[in-house]
Amino acid sequence: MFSIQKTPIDVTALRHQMADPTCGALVVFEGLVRNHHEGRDVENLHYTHHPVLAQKEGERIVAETMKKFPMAKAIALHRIGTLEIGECAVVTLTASAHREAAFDANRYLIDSLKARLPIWKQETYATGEVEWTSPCPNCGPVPHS
Amino acid sequence: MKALILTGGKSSRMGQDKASLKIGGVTQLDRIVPLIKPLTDQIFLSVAHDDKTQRSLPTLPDLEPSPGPLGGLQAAFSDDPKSSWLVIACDLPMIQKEDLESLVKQSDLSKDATCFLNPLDDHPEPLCTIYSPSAAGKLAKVLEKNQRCARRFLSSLKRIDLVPSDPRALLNLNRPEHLVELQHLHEHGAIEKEVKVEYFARLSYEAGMDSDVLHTSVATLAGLWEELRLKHHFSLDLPHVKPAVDNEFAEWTDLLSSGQTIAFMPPFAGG
Repeated sequence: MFSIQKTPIDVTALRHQMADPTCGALVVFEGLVRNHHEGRDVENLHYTHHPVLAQKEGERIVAETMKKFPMAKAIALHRIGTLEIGECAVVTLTASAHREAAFDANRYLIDSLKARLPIWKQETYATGEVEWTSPCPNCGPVPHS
Repeated sequence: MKALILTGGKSSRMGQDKASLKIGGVTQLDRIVPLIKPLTDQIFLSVAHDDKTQRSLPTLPDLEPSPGPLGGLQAAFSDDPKSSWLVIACDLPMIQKEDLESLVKQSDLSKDATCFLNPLDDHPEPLCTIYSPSAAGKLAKVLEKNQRCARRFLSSLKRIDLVPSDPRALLNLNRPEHLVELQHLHEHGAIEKEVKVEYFARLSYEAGMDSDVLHTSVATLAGLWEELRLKHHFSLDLPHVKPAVDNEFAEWTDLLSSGQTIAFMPPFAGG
């Protein structure tokens, strides 16, 4: 299951959805909004996305994860909109009979989501500046006045 | 006036010698020579310092190994400092006869150079330029200081700046995707299409819009991106952008059809 939502992520509710008597391992990864980026104080983050393609690609990645590892369940959820420090931006849950597969699958899931989901973030800094954050070293930040 | 064609050697991005790249069965060199022949007295090929290959045209070897982009002009003025020199890259597949005619017509010996402004950044483009004899001394001074940037050199000269007939006239064959685009245009002609374009994140900020409906006669997604990059002065080039067609990821060389919705997306930054 993969979904994108504007409202805060309820990780406890997601954990309940993962309940499965055949699973001895549940790995939960939460990506949180931190208060600094490359030495600058961050106020908040704003996520935007390509609605159709992000949903499709997320579903594909979850399906791939289920196929690649001996999994019982996998859930991923990404938040969009404005997020404050400490809030959960992305969560991946993987459940398997044993911990090795659950850990490996979770790593694959979150890494793939970060690399392949058409989602972008703008950081607002304590100075009031707003910039597109980009993982690509060749494209510097673009000021957003 | 004499002409010097820069053949450039093997291009790392294209994986082969640009002068021999074919569009419609014609190499870049065979296309450019007839365009400049009626405008100049003599045509030379700029070649590497140690290149002794027999060519169809007389050659002017660089005076030293790896002299940088100004090496060709240096060799030209060393051969004939009293002549004006049209220095032109071999891979300008979109440059038209009219562009070169206007370059020659407007050139003025009281100025150091006559050139085109690149529509992308309004900077003078050094590799399709007529250099007057007065530029020779200035070139020698710049090279003495070991400054080898051709754009900076041209910017420092007294110039006549022209605007090309088409924004894409100065397009270089720098990427395989551009070659595919031009081959399609050559084979099938320019066919007008109406497409919807969507911009995301920093691209929508730079374009000043989220989406647009536009008419274009390019053949591929790479051609459309190049056209829009020139129009909106996007800060990202093709390798850093991902295209999608009708809500599915696509390849740069995919053909464009009327009615499609094309999305251009900057590097992803989720998580």
